[in-house]
Amino acid sequence: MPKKKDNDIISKIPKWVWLLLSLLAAVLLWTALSRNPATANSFYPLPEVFASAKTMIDRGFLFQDIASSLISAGIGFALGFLFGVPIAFLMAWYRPVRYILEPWIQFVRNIPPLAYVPLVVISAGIGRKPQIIVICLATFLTICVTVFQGVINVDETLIKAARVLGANDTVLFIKVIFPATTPFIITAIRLGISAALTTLIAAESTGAIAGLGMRIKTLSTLFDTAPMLLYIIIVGVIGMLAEKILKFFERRLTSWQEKREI
Amino acid sequence: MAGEARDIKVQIKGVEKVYEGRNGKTVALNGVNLDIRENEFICVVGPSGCGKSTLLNIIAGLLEPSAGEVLVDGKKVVGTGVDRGVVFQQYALFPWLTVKKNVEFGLKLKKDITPEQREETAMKYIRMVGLEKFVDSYPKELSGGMKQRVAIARAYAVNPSLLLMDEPFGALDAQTRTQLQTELLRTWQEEQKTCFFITHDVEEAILLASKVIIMSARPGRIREILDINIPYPRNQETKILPEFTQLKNYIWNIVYKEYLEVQQ
Ligand SMILES: Nc1ncnc2c1ncn2[C@@H]1O[C@H](COP(=O)(O)OP(=O)(O)O)[C@@H](O)[C@H]1O
Ligand SMILES: [Mg+2]
Repeated sequence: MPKKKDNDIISKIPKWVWLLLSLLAAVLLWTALSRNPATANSFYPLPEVFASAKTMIDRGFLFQDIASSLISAGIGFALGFLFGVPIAFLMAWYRPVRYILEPWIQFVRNIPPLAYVPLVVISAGIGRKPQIIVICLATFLTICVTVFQGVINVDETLIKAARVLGANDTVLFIKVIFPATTPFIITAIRLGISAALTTLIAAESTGAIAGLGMRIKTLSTLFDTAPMLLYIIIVGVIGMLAEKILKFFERRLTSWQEKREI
Repeated sequence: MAGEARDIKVQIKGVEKVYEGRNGKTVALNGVNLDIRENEFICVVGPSGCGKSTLLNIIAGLLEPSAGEVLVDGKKVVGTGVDRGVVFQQYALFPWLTVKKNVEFGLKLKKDITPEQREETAMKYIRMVGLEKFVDSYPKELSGGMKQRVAIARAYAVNPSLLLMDEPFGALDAQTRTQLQTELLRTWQEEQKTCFFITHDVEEAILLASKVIIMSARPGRIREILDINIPYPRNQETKILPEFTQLKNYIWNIVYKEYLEVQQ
């Protein structure tokens, strides 16, 4: 932990100044990389990258792609969450469920989605359905594993304390296990969003007609680097915005946690 | 005879507990017999690992004995019950609930009380432990001593007739511990309850107890039962009485011998 004195100077500078500094550093680094002959082919000058936004809008792609990806990722994530959380609780609660499911979850989790995409397409055809399935699977696995860890890590003495105060299984679940697991559920959402976004390219390689991942792949085969970079930046920004929204809820829901001040 | 039998609050009859672990069996308790009378303050001392917590958990209904049984008010213990309150060493407060909500936790599970009564009861016990200024604080904002006060208030709130405490002051600094001992003595005298209190601190045991149980390790059983005939009310000054010192030396010697045996 840093000494208190350093900490004070650092915390006196407002957060938005830090954000600005961070942005400035990134722009400087990018500019340097775009000037350096060894990396110039990958890092187009920033003005060019941003100018490509206009071309993509004019061609009618940009908003269509963003919307398409958000729909696929959103539905896939929502389904993954809806399945992942209850199954994680079941796995933690009933050992048979755990013993049967856990090996397979660990097994599938480490296979790159790109590898099983063709299998999904064979059965689900092309279009939005396979995209949603692939994203759902990726988020489901991540969320399930994370929430499961949270449930089995609930402090045993809290469970004992609730029992001696008269809690039955239902009360125990609603009033102890569930609130004790909220921090893990939020972490699971965070990792799930990230899984959904990082799976976009794989998911949209199923013959999608629009989408950020599909467009990045198409642009890369055309060596159309400036708009490709723009799209990559957009994916990153979407992730950051989601994180911001999540942080907002996290502060409300888990402020009771003992946290180290970092 | 009949009158005496009604006086018995807890009967521990031939209780054994064997844990089956990966490295074989551990006999934690081997034939424990003990009667606890109504409103007694029992303190249990003994080397660590001699089965004190195991015995407490069995009385609480959190653990099942491998053999034997425990009767509370003549009824066999099966599972937990609100007639038996427990205070844990690690406080075990629900971190997402405020002090007041923590104390109300058990009250909310009772069907026969109104919200007003619930609030009133919670506040009564929060005042009893002197935390009325912290009703809306979260556990993370409290010191260890304050947390344990909340845990005590929470246990008292559901009005158990038997209070089980597993080294409740073990994690506290000496000064806070002294304070809480005094408070506990006072509340025990105000609200008649039977107490079963585990400690590794011999002084604490003599100060609080009407009866000290010394347990021996390997196999975990009761080594000696000692009546503490120092009259209540007691306070920290009780510790300078000659009989206090005598008892302390006596108990300490036995516990130390037990401890040496465990070492071997
Ligand atoms: N869940 C458990 N599984 C296996 N062994 C246990 C378990 N709990 C306690 N023990 C063992 O039983 C013995 C008594 O433990 P415990 O009742 O906690 O003793 P104490 O509270 O007196 O220190 C110890 O040897 C301990 O290692
Ligand atoms: Mg113990």
